[in-house]
Amino acid sequence: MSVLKLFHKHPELNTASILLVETERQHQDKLAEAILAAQRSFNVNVHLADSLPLPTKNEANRPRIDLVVFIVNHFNSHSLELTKSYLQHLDVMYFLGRLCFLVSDARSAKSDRDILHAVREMAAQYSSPLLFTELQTEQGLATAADRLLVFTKVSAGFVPGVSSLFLNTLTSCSHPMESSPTKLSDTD
Amino acid sequence: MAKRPQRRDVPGDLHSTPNISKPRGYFSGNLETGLPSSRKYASLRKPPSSREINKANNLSKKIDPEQISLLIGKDWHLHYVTPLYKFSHSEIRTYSRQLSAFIAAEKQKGVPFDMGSDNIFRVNFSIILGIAEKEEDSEAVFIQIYAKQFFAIQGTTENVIWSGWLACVNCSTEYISSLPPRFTYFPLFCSNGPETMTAIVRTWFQKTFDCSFGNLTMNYSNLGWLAAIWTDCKQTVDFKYLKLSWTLPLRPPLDITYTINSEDVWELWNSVHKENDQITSEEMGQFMYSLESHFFRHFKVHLTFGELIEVSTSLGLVQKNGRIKFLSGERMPAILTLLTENAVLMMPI
Repeated sequence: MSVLKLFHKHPELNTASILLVETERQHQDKLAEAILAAQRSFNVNVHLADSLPLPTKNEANRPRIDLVVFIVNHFNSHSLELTKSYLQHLDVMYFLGRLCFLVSDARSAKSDRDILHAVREMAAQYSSPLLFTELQTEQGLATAADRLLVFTKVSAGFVPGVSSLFLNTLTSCSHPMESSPTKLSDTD
Repeated sequence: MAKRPQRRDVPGDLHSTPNISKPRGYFSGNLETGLPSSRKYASLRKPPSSREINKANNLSKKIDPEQISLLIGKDWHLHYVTPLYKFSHSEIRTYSRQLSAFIAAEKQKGVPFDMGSDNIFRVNFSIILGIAEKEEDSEAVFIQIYAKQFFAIQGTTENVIWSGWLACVNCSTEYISSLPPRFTYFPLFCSNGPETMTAIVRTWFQKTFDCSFGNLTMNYSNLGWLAAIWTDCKQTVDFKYLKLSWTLPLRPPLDITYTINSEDVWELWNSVHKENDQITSEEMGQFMYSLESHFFRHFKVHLTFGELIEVSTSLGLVQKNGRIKFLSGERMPAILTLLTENAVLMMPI
């Protein structure tokens, strides 16, 4: 089973690479453009994919991927199932802070509550950050791009003293809390 | 590793100023007063994993058949309601008069009506006993609005032009007991009739009881539960088919109606469901998954990429945008419990 490995290739000078994976290819392009347009002090390569494993014929030309972002569609259940299956094709080193989940328009009326709950559980299970973004507006795209660039900067090692695992302890998603009636009446 | 922040609820009187609770370690500020947070309660709660369906139970045991007929056969539009302040079941006659007066006043003000300009409206509030299941649930209140022609001859009958009901079925005890006193909680509001009249009734409720309304949408799992519950009724009440409608987001959008013969769906359900009174969410998930994968095997279309819009049998019809029609009183308590829980979860705050 082909696995996307992290340390197989040499990093390039002052360059970071992001891989955006989205099953339905709705927001990838706009988000990629926003990332490229954002202000940054290093070069960024943005790669788009709709599934993992990545095709092997481009293997040689592809640079080292510093950050993998899964854009999960929470309007239907299929996207979540597929994303879970793609996670098997990632090297284990990506799970230590170089992986990020992203959902867009969580406040939309079309969103399914249970699916969003399930996405959150998945992000918590893999200890990865879950970003809630608004990818319909320009401002939202710019904000999302900035947030992703912060993660990329750390993953690519451009911030001295901060490793991606360290950032992960601060940003990983917490489990939606389990129910327990006694917790509600917790008083001082 | 950071300590998980503790959430502090601040139950207080509506009239007191907000208290900031004492910080203890890491603390996520929760400046809430008055009504306890339903969203926090909802986010803490997983959707229930099993549902009690009492097979021998239908509404006719407890409620007058005449009153059941009020609920059946009409197309209800579902809403969720926040708790009502100072609502009393004994004052319903006063409420009837007040609402009639309010409607007349709105008409005077020139609010657009689409029911004819020379009608007199009379409102009747009544209580339907038996819908509420637990002790803490408030008894259901049924509202009917009659219209009569202003220039009508004596003896012409009035027509019901709008009806609605507020209900609370099997609502969680913790939430109700955490409400401040003098609040009554009816999570579910159903309305049938012209939208302008619904808007007027909602405005009156908002002004009188300081509550707010919102539209209730049914998501995939709610529709799945209803499909499972209605399929389960096959032993007691026969129905011909189970019909599911999907919309796939293609260009142009593709609508799929998937009709299954009831014998086949009953066989499928039996193979998934254990013979007892409970339906678990695994069984429901398995049932829906089997239907979808069967469709995929034949048509190579992934139904899960689309949205489930409607579930209907001859026992009832429910749509994703919050419309439901009961055609039989079978398993009503379980269905109403499901709707109530959905309303509680959808309530903001």
